[in-house]
Amino acid sequence: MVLESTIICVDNSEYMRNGDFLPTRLQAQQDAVNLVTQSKLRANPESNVGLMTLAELSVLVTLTTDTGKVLGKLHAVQPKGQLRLAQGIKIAHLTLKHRQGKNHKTRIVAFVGSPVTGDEAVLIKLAKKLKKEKVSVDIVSFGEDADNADILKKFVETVNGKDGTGSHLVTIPPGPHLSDALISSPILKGEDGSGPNVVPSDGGGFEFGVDPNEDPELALALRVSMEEQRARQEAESRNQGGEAMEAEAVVAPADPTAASDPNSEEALLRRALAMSMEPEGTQGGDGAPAQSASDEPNLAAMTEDEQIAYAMRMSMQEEAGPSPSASAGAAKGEAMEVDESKEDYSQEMNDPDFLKNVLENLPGVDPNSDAVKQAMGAMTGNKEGTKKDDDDKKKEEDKK
Amino acid sequence: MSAESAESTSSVPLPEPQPDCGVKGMMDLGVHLEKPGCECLNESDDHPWAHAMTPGGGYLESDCDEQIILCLAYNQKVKLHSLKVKAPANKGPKTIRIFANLPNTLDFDKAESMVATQDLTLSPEQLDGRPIPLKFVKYQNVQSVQFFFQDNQAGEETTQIDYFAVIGTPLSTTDMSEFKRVTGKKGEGH
Repeated sequence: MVLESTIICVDNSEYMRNGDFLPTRLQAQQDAVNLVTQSKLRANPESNVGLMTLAELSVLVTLTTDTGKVLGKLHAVQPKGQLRLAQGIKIAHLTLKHRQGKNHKTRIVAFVGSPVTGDEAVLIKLAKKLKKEKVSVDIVSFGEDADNADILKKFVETVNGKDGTGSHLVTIPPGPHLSDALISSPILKGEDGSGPNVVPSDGGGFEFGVDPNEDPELALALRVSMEEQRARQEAESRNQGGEAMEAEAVVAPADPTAASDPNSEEALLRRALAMSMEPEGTQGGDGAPAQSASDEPNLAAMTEDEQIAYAMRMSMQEEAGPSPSASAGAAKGEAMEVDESKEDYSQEMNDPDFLKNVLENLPGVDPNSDAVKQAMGAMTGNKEGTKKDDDDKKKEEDKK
Repeated sequence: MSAESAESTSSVPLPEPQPDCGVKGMMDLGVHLEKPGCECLNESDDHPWAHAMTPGGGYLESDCDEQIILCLAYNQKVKLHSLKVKAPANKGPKTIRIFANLPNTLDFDKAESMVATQDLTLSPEQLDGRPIPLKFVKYQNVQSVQFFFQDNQAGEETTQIDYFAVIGTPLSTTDMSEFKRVTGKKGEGH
């Protein structure tokens, strides 16, 4: 979160036409500048970035927080002339003097991709001056890195001084991606050593392969569904653990160590055993359905007759359940129940007289109330699906 | 602090009782510093300029060589009367060049070549914290002031300043950062 003003110096000498970085050195640099700009601006909302070229020595963008401005000017840069590093850095330093707040730290990030000409002594003197004025200089050396290694190393060492660590020299060998090599470099690392907060080109750095900054809603949805899934799995494993514990209690109720310390190795082993045994227990036995709940009698142990009897008893209970509680809502509920088993009652349901009769017999239900009429109308309407019957129905109701 | 600010915003500046100031009718201007506008070049990382603003504790030390540029900005216009410098006799500053109201921070080349508002040469005796008078008439309307400590008393590698204070008085302008609503609410009409 360091508050910093940065001038990015782009090398736009003729050497930038070289294609050893794809597609050209200049375009590879554009990617890299984009990366550095993003990283610097996101590190602190008040940080500023400026842009200048090292061959024409023109300041393209003075210090700004607007990435678009920087990128717009950057893409208009054309290769031209020779690299003039020392003068360029001097100009960058002057530009830094006009930063918004004096509490901004100052930094120059220079891309150097062509041979550094000029006197070494001049550069070293410049480095000493920069050190004295507390300007950090990061240099990205690529392309002609072998020729420049010595002089740039000396330069950065001088800027750093004896024990300084603010300035860096990053040497990047020819390769397809200049910016990818930069991501892991100390130039983009935060002051606390944390990684850069920028977008890798392939999106691989994100949790779901999606940039959360670009589509926060999608990212949120992904995260929520991930958490739900995690919770479900957790609950499942807990349930299994619980069942296993029960099984364990049956198998070995008289083991004091296991009871007192369920996490002991023995207990864990037994639990694992029980879990592996369980599926066989539930699935085996005459192909009885595995959904037999724990409170139901063991279907697997019954004969077929017993199973049928049990099933009948269950269905009887379901039907008998709601009828005694006879409020209007319950009546509707009953109607719904009946609706489900329509093959048995469809005949009766289609007879409005019968229905009316039933409803009148129910305590607390007023067959003339609107709610009941509506329910009946809806029901018979659904059943018959004909307009004529509806009309009949209405007439019936009107009579009532 | 609040008493001072109340004084400074009143139309007639009264002489303030400042027991540690040492100059009658003046005050230590440290309270009117605008910290984000202040800067020090060639300060050591371990001994920044802020250490020299308080009488006790740390000190300001130069980093690469003996020169230091200290830029102080004030949150309102001030008049400068005198300086107080506390420093060791050997590493204390000797030549001080003072520049008032420069638009941006000096660099070291300019600091040596430019015409200063005032050049001071201190003797070792003056480094005990006694007030060192300035040309008062030249500092009547000061928003920012830059001090260039060019060398030190014994030609040591680094310069050290234990305490540095500027004595003066704020002009009777309204300090907007201290401006407070007297009555009513924000956005309320008359």
